[in-house]
Parts: sequence; structure tokens; C-alpha cells
Amino acid sequence: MMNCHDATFLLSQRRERTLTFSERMKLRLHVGMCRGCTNFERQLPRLGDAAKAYATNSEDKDV
Amino acid sequence: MAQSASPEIAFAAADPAFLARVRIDMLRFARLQLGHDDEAEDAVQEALAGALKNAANFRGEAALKTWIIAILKNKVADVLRQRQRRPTPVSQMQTLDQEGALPALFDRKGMWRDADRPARWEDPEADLHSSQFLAVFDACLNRLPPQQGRVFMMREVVELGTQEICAELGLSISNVHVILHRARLALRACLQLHWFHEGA
Repeated sequence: MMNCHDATFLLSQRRERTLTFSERMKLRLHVGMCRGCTNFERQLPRLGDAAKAYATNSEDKDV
Repeated sequence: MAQSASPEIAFAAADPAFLARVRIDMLRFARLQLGHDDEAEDAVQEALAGALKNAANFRGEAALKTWIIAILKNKVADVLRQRQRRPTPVSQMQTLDQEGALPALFDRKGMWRDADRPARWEDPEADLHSSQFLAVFDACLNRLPPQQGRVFMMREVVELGTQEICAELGLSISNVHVILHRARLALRACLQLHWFHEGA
């Protein structure tokens, strides 16, 4: 059974590459039973949105 | 500034304050990605000049700004692609303990520690552009090891592919995956602690 570290690693990689069938199966099994990883999965796209908002928003702060 | 002469920019030139503000954002973005001030300045200048040619087509500053930033993103991506700078020597990089030590968020079996298990976030959509949120994000991003922050922004904001990031920084694909994983774990944890936690 996959642990949370490996599950989040796959969830992260899924934003960069297509997972293999077996990776997807193992991931589903784990995430289906793990609330922490479910939340992590939901929050990943929001990190991207936040980064975009950060890069394009008007804050008169310098680098 | 280079773009001052062209007649098409009557619309945008109407509000120099707006342009000045956009320019600051652009520079911040370009510096973060390119590192060098000169290259960042050039990219911003070119992007502005290019974007403002079509400025008359945009109603409203928000749309214009989105357009300008999109052009800048492409410029930055071009510069990064073209740069054949030999990347950070491996010796200078922080060692990536690939399989060895787990990030502290996990216990020895690789399961979330109780305190670090991701909690639900209340709907944060509306907040992403608030200055308080951006300040928190800024602090969290700056807390990452510099390379992690840079790779994360290259990926999520400039939207470079893994290959392109590898070529730019001289990392292997698996390095990039590990770095992005670490960056996301750390950012997420920091945002939860300082923004989404609400003391509950």
C-alpha cells in the first residue's frame, strides 16, 4: 500500500506528466482512503492559481 | 521609456500611472524568472512595446494588463529557452535526498504527521487577489529554498515544461519532480498555517 509521501509525489507529478495506469490505480486506492491526500489533491491547482495571482497582481512591493 | 513614440498607444498612454504600476509588476515577475536585472528590463521593455501596439483593442485596464502579462510570459519563456547558460553546477545545488530522508511532514512510514495533515480549505477563490493573501504568499514563497521557488514559478506561472526547466537549470527530470513536490508540500503547509487555518 502506497504511503502519503509517495501519493503526494504522484499527485504533484500529475501536473507535469501523465501517470501510468498502475500509478493511477495505486493512487486512487490510497487517496480514496486518505483524507489528508484528498485535501492535498484538491489544493494543488489552487497553489498554481495563487502563484499566477501573485505574479500578476498589483502590489507595490519590489522583488 | 521606449514605447513613448508610437501613435497606436494613445489609449494606454492616457494613464501613465497604470503603466507605471504594470511595469513594476512586470519587472518583479521577470526578475524572479530571469535572475538578471538587465535581461529582465529588456524583456519587460520588449513585452510592453509589443503589447501596446494592440492596446487600442482592449477596453479597460484589467484586460490590457492580462494581455501585457501574457506577452511578457512568452518573452520570458523565449529568453529562458534561448539561454544556453551552463546551469548551476551540481556542487552548488542543495543536495536532493531523493529517496532517503522524508520531508518532516511525514512520519517514518511516510504517512502525514497529525499536525501536518492537509485540512480542508474554506473557499479561497475570492481571496487570491487580496493584498493580505499576496503578502502571505510572498512570505511563504521566500521561505522556500531559492531554487525550489524558482522552479515552482517557472512551472506554474511561466508554464515551462519539465524538459525546458531541465535544460535551463541542468537538472534531471526526476530532480525537477522532486523539487516541485517539495515546493508544493512546503507552500501548501505554509499557506495552511498562515492563511487558511483561521486559528480553528
